[in-house]
Amino acid sequence: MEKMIFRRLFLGIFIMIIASLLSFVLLYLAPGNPAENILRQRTGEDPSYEEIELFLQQKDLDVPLLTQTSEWLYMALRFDFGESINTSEPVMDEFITRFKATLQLTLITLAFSIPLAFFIGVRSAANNGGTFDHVSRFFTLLAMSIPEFWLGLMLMIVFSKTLNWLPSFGYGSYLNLIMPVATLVVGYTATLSRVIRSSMLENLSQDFITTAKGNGLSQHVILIKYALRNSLGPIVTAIGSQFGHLLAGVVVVETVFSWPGIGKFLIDAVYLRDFPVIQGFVLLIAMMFVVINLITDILYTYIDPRIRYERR
Amino acid sequence: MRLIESHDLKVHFDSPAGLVKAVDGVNFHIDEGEKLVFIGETGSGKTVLGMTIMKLLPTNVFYSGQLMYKDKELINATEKEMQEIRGKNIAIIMQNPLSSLNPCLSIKEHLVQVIVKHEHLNKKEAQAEAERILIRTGIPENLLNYYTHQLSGGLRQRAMIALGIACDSEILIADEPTKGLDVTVQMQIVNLIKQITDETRKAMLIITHDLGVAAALGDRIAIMYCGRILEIGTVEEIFGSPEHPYTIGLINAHPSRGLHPIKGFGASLIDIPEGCVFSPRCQHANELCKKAEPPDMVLSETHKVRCYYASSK
Amino acid sequence: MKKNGIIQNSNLLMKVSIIIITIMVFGVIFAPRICNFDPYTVDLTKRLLPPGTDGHIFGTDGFGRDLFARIIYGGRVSIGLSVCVVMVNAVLGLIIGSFAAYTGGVIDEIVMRIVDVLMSFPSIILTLFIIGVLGPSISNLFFALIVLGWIGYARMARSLVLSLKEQSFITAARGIGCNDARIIFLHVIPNVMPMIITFAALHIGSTILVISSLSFLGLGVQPPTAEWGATLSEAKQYLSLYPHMIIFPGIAIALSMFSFNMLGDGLRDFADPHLKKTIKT
Repeated sequence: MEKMIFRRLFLGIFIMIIASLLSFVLLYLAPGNPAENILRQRTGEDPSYEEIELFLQQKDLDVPLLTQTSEWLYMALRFDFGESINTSEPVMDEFITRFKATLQLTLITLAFSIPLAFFIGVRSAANNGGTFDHVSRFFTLLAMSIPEFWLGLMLMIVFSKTLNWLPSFGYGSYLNLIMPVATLVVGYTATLSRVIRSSMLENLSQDFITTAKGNGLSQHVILIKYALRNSLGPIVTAIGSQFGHLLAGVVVVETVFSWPGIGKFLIDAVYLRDFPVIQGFVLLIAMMFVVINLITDILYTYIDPRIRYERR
Repeated sequence: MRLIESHDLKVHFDSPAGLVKAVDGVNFHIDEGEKLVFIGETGSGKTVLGMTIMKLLPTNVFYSGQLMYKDKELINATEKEMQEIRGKNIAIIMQNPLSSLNPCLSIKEHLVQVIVKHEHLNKKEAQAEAERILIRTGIPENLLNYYTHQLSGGLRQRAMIALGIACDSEILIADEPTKGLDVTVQMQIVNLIKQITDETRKAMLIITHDLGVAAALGDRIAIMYCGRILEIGTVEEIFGSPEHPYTIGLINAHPSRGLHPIKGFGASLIDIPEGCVFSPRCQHANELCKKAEPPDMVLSETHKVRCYYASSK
Repeated sequence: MKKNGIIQNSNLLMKVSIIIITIMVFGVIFAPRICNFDPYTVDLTKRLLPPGTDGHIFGTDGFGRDLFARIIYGGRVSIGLSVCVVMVNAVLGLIIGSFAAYTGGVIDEIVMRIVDVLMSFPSIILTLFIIGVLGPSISNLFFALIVLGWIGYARMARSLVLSLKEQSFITAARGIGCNDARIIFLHVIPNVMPMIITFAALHIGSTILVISSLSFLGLGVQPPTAEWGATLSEAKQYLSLYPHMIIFPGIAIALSMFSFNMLGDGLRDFADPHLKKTIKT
């Protein structure tokens, strides 16, 4: 158990270092010039050569690449990723502020999605081949096929532009949360409920379900104590690995609804080629990803007695 | 009293390859306290027969004929009615204890579930009862909270037996109770089943391919082949004066009789041979055997054989 | 009986999806014959026409370009690019995965470590990172999708080849003197194909989503190129008054993703041995 955690953490750190090195190599090979882009964005016209030089000096971008890389790595180990070229704020500070907004969006989405997905997935599996199953399979597939950005825009057309019930963008009131959360819930619930359904079905075809039936246990007990209990491990793992999927939705939804989270900020940074932000955010998000997967793996070992006792 | 009685029972499955006639016209009965053994090769329909009594078959099944539990018709019984009968009136010991037990429940929890369902005890009483039964099947007291994967094959099989006797049903179905066990453990398990069921005078339906198990546990034996009972009789009749060529073949194939194999392969349940189902493999078969299926020849009150040439060989 | 119902039903869904996909593919190939208008001709006198006016089935956009033509031609980019991405990835992944599994040893180890590294990032983040560093453009998007896309195929090919390597008919084939190339082509690939095709169908669906999402965000296909996401991005400013410009491209994306997802889902039911219940006797 401890061995696994250490191995995973070590792999995580190793990956981070490799990724940071690669990012500088890519940066070196990349065409275009960040200074040029940002100055153009600020003034609206092409900057002169002198303006670019001045900007590079101000931001310490004129030193050799290798020096930049090693300095960055050294600082990154202390969670200092430098300043955003665009806003001149420390990247770490920006990340923390934005992360709160993203966390709010994500947690509320999960709070709605997970129970809903369990309800649909379990009922659908229990009703395998029946009406509820067919209807839910059709609609989850449909929900998975609707791009988040389009759903967001459609909600906006209906609820803010036509009915005038909800603000189309902004941050602060709970009214602002409704549409972004609804958009994310649709896609995520659909994906997760399909995972739950197939995991349930896999377990429902096992021999121990026949035994439970042969003992006269009720459908309800079989579904919950036998099929669902055994599906929990794979489902938790799926929730962990679907994190990337959810994140992709968050990035898009934040941009559509101008939600001031990490996704929107990262997209803006990509647009402006604000490299310190891109590097810092990518590294921090990847770290979160490693940690979340580690947590789900640890949870899995607690849920499944087969692994729990093997490890001892 | 008659507990189970079947009349011309047929169990067919709809499969992509065609209609699988797993059980095709079977008549038998089990009386109170009586042990009936079904013997047959893999694919003879014997497991399906056990599952039919419990009504645990997949949804692509068709039943016909009659299957009575006391005066209750089981074929048309609803799922709800079956839930009350299963475990309480008719219990089953499944094959493959490892996959037949829930990996996420301890063996004690398995029993508690069943006892709570049928005996209407509270959780605490149910736990005490579960412990009593598990210990009775010879599971050491300190292993009661263990999970299936932590136990040996023999202990798993004991747990399955405990689950089968948890609610003291009138009939216990045992599906290959010695399959996959070491020979030494097999004998222990057979003795355990015998001891427990004799104590309570429990009726049993035992499904096996092992003649030794059949002789040790059974009162009567039914020889199954291709979804049919080819011969049925008491243990003495089957072993003492076997009449059907297949029965004789089975007994001679046993290691103690010198391992004489029956030539050919078990018939497919989809393309059932014309005439006597055993005729393609029977050395005595003639034109008549290949054309029309023989009726059941009654040799004694208990002994019936489905062969034209019974008692004439 | 019930089981037949399911099979027939998923058959029906698959047939529907195949029909939709065929129509879309024909539409995309014969785009110039179907459309009465050119998707790039700007006509400022005909700006923002509602659907159905002057022969513009879906109306026109902010530059007076025919929306129907832009969607049909947009399909060329969205579907065409997705199919290209998936084909390149499938071939690349299959070669890498089966080669790694077949040779084993150090090469296998290296490939699997690269896969580990790439998998430890959420794919959207890695895509954004590559585009962020190289700059937003269609070719960089293509590159980013290739860097990540082969992994699924390689892993699948690898595990299948590893399990097939152990199976008796491969040993038998070796025994009667088949060489490695012959074994791969005659025995390994036909066995791997059903799963790969299923995966590829679902992959085309998700690639359409990634391409249109990133183009919508301005990080993929750039205007004025007709592409569904980019078209939607241009339409955003007319959101409140001209919703038709939002509705039609979105339906195009959803419909194409839905058909590919449905196709993949149906194929999986056939390819997945778990679902083929065997009758125990």
